[in-house]
Amino acid sequence: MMDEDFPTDFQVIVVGTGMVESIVAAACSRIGKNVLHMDSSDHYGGLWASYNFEGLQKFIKEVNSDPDRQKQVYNLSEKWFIEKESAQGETTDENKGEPRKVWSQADFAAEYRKFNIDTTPKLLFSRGPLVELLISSNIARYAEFRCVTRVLTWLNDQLMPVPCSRADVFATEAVGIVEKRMLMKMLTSIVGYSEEEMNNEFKDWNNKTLKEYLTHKGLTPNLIHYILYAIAGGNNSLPCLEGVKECKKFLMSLGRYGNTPFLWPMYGSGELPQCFCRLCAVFGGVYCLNRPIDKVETKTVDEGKTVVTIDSKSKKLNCDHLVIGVHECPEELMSSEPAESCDISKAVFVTNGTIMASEKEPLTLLRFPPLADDDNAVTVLEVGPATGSCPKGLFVVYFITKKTKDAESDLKPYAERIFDMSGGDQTAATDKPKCLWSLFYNVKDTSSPVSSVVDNVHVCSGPDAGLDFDRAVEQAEQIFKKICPGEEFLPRAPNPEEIVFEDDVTHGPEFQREQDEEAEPKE
Amino acid sequence: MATNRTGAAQRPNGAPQTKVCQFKLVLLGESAVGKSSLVLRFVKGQFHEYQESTIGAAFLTQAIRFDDTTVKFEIWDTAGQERYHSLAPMYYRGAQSAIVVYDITNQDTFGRAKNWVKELQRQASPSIVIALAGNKSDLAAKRMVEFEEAQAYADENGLLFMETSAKTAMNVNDIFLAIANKLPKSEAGAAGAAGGGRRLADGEQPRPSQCCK
Repeated sequence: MMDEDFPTDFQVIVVGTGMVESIVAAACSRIGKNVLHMDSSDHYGGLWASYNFEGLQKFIKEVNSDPDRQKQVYNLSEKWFIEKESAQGETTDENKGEPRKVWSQADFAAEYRKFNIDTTPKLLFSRGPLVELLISSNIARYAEFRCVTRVLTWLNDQLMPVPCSRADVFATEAVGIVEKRMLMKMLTSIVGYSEEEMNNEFKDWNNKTLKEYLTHKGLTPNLIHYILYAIAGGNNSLPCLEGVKECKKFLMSLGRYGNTPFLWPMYGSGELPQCFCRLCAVFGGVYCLNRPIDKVETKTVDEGKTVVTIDSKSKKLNCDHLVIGVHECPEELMSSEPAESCDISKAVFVTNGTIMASEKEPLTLLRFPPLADDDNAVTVLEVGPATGSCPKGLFVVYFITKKTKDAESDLKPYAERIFDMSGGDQTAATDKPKCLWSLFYNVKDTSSPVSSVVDNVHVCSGPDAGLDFDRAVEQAEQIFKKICPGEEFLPRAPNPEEIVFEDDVTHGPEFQREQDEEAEPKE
Repeated sequence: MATNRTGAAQRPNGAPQTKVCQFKLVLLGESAVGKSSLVLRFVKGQFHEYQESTIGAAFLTQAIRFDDTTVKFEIWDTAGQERYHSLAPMYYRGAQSAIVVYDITNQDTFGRAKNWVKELQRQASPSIVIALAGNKSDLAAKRMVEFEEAQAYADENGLLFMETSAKTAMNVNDIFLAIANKLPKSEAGAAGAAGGGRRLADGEQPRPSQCCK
């Protein structure tokens, strides 16, 4: 039924609704290209999607039963720490008065819609390229955000807040007055460097690490820890100049929206591709989920122009340019396999409290330094009910690192530092939140660019292990510029108030009365 | 006519004249039942017989003023994403109200409207205010959906119901007013963005409704 009127000829067909694909689709549609955007699955986002609890269970099942999907996502390990059914809903701790809910698996199932769990959780730097793009393109009005309220690190075997703003540095009790001055001086100088000054200042540090530089500058171990692990998000081998640039990026994004440089999208990172899709649709893009592709062919027509033809549900769809996610792209179209790189280890936990008590509901970025010598640094994001990620009383916590062994071995030691993973009585007073449910998995890193054997087929990378979306934005812009050379990338979409409808046009006063009468509309 | 769209939200002396509550309203219904026409009639007071999908305009705002409250609707159109059953979940996020539209001359669209109501009950917030609009009431001669049938369905499901005509303007303002009436105009409703998060804007300052410390 839906296929009869399905159009078959487009200027651009985009296959896959991941972040890069969606930005390219929006950008092409925005400047007037005729775009078809489709996805083989029944939801938006591909590997960038967020799921409610039921959807996540389906995702786990699908991956476990499909060897093809295990090429992208593998080593899945899901575990419950709570009973299937709870005997009673709540118990009241008489001393504290606050009833603490005892969660059961059945409660999770009943409230499944209140969960939005990301497969690729990412933050936005307040002055980073994605925020600027959302604002300049006016796509920002489709999304809501929450500010990350604090940045934590793991120092001397405990969680510590990282002073990131000037006010934080002065307020913190963690470092002494001399250290405060030292830290301020370092941060101020980093933020003040222009590109040129930076290259100049660090020209002798080319083969050295940030740690060596900070040590050379006489910073104390605590300060080095803050700057290296928490602000730059690095490890001991982070090259000096790269680390300084990371610090500058962090510092430059302070003071725009909140106390930290970061924003988190309401309902999860998986909302963002959908925002770009909406803009694409608003400018005439055609959307079709549940539409797998069977075959991609290219054929040269007159004047050496190449047309790409896609077979999908026994229909032939033609386009001048095909933009396709790396996971959907037929191998023979890629000129090379994505460069071998380190895969990603991920984990998601649902807990019954925050990792560090706070007055208001916190939204936390925790940067763990490597606990063992051959480990990588671990990024942790804790999001609560106010972000639309989970029901009241719970927190969702994401762990991300580069893979060394497998997700569970890589991340469990870190999780055990901040959660009580023993199961047991949920109402018991503990200094750590109880872990109620966990999922570990590995994802193949498909974030390095892949070129195609045909000029008008453009392959979009998968998600990277980084904290932000910057690489996706950068790649999308590059692909757009190849498809539409010389065109503006996502110019500002007008506000509703600015859209002039035909009847809105107010004509100036007529010059001659006679003509005025002639122009009278026929009623 | 509805009130000035921006005037009511202004705070010339720092203090608001009236309380401004902003609500997200989503439109649902089959293609060509008149979703965009209803909004255009409500927001612009216009009707175009051969309305094409208005490129770039799938997001409009309109305010209704009560005695002490201005209800500002942020109206989301489907932008055609419903055509091949590909509406994104973000469309429903934080929506406090919805109008599900069908065409009284087309029984199929009424069946589909019921599916949209189910979809809303599944996807949207449990407290969402839903109105059912039987549009094209000016074409009563070609009626295929009885008023009583739709009314009974609406009653069973706790929906507001009106037959509307974007062409003659019949009940168009009324249905928006009825929704505005039913929405809780509490402080939470006045808090700006629908989900309680923040919107990004050109300026570094939060939006006026949020900046009071």
